Amino acid sequence: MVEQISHTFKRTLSGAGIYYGWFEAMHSRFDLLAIGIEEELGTTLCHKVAEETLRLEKRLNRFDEESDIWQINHLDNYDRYAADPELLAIFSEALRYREMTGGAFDIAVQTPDYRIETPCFTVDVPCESIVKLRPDAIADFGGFGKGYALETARRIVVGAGVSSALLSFGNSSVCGIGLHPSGKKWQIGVENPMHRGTTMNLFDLQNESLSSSGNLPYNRGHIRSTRTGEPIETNQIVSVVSPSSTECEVLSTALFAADAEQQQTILNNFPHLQATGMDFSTSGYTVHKL
Amino acid sequence: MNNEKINRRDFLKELGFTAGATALFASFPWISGFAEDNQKAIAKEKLRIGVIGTGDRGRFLLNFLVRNPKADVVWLCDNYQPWLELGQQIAPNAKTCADYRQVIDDPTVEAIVIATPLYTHHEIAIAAMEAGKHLFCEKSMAKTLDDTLDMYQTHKRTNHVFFVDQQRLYDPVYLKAIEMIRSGMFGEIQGINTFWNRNGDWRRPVPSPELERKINWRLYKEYSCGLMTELACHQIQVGTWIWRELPERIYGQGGITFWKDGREVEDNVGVMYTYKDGKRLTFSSIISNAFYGLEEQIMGNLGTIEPEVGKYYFEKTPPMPGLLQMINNIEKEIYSTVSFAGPSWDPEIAKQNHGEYIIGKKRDFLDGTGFTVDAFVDAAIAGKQPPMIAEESYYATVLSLLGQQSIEEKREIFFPEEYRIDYL
Repeated sequence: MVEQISHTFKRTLSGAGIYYGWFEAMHSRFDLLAIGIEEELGTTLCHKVAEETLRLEKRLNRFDEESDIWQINHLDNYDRYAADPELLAIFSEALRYREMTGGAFDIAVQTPDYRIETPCFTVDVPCESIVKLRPDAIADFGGFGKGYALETARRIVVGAGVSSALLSFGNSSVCGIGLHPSGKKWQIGVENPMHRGTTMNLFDLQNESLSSSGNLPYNRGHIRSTRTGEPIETNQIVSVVSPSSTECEVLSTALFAADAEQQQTILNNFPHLQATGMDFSTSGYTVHKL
Repeated sequence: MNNEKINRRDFLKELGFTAGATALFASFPWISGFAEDNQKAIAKEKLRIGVIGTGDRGRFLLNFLVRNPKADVVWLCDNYQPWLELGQQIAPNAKTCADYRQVIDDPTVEAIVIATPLYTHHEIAIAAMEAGKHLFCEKSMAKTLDDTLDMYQTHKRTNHVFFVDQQRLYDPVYLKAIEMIRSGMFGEIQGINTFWNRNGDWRRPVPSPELERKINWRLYKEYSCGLMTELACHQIQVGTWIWRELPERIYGQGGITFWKDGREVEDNVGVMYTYKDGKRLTFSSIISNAFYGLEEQIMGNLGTIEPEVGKYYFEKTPPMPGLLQMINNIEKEIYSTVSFAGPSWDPEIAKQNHGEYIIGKKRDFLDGTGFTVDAFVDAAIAGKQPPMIAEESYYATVLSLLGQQSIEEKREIFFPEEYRIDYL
């Protein structure tokens, strides 16, 4: 059992259960709100979600010496890393996103002297291994892990028959399962970082996720352009809505980091995507569809 | 909205109950008088009330009474004429007198409200209860432990309604806070820091010197126990309410450190109440610095709640801003959106931890006094003593007095068994 899971349980006026549980993982906070279930089921689900999330964190945290990613990053030269099906699938998916975003998303962007045209990793499926293509390649699942964990959580919650729930991971990724108990879609807003409390845009979610990437006025440059290697400093937030939480997480970062050509590649390859850009300044903000 | 306008329906709404309130009444049985059925039963009744003491506090209570259609203030009593006249301005139809016995002797009076100096509470309260009146008494109950016990026992024997103005028991923010604490949101409550700081001499203007002790009775030990019975009494009660137990030991210290103007009661006190397993409630009050004001910091291993500010805070990363408000609304079956910061996790925002409002918004009413007064009127008309009110009030006074005793005797006091009642 995972420790440090907190929860509350209430009922609506009509008597429907409201389970709200939360825990910390991946340097962030996971919130699980499920409507129409009893406390016992909510507690069981939250523990399962927490166990899975913390297990994934353990695997994907490149700073944890026991994690798979740390091991891979510290392989000599062109070594292979024997991977189980889950890790193979994670790497395969990450590399697929690299391909489909024109390189705007790359788990290897932290590699020293990174160059977009030079792949750093590949997956050898028949040999069940991850292969390093550069001795100094560094894999970082920072822009992927939370989305993947949220997707895993969504499957657990939906699999248990929950028909109305909201999952939030670290304020930047939210998944709306089913409808809000009122019968309407879950409606999530993105705040204007210059004016807290002001919503720049609202997004409707029904069995969909929303993820946002970008800069805050006092915390900028943490996302690098894969094209130039330089930190991106623009006052912009990009939000993406998609049925897949992983896709949201990856593509919001990719679209924020992308140049015009890459952006077009992404939008061509993911035509179902709802992507919105929000530019803000001290004098106001603009919202535009990507 | 303020205390003048908020009514029973608003009271329930503040707690998140827009229709029916079975769960609320189960959690807080003393507010069940607000239940729809109980209200209907007494809707056309009127309670004939005599108010004894029309100083600042008495007039504050009077303002609630005159607005309550079920309350009929028939007597005003005060032995200080200027205050009696001010009281008359609020309740002009009430008869007036200077001797409280005249009010108690009136057989048509059904209930008495006492808002006189502390040292007079016991005498008037016993007379009222023995005369078969329902009683609302300002806190603290009495100036000594024996008088406090006597009042409680007389209440039990005469079996009429008895309220003390421990207004937190009827404050929606506190009720919601206690509900949250009991739900485990903040983990195990490890400690409660309470403080009530002001910057002022605590004096009332005196028109001529011979009236000094009469008007400024709070400053003299013959009449008052100072900050402990006037302020601490409210905050100490929170500990009993949350932990459902009494402290084992009490240790206090205090002195006159700033207002050296001839007063006898301390202007600077600190008392520690130690419960089983070492849990502590502390009270401190300095009346020469108001910076930190008034608060009860209720601290669990998962979070902190501050009912006076009306907020709560989690120890670790706070939830998505607005999410708790959305949950609050779902509880009330209201549709709402939630906005969040947007870009990936922001440790700086997390560290700021501005907290969330207990009732989902800033407190826009003063405190629970108005609800307490209304609840008393309802209970007296129904002739039904709500559970816990007298008992919580009794221990609030006893613990205040034990704190004062410890300050004066400069020693640790173990809770005296002879003052234990059949509660907790």
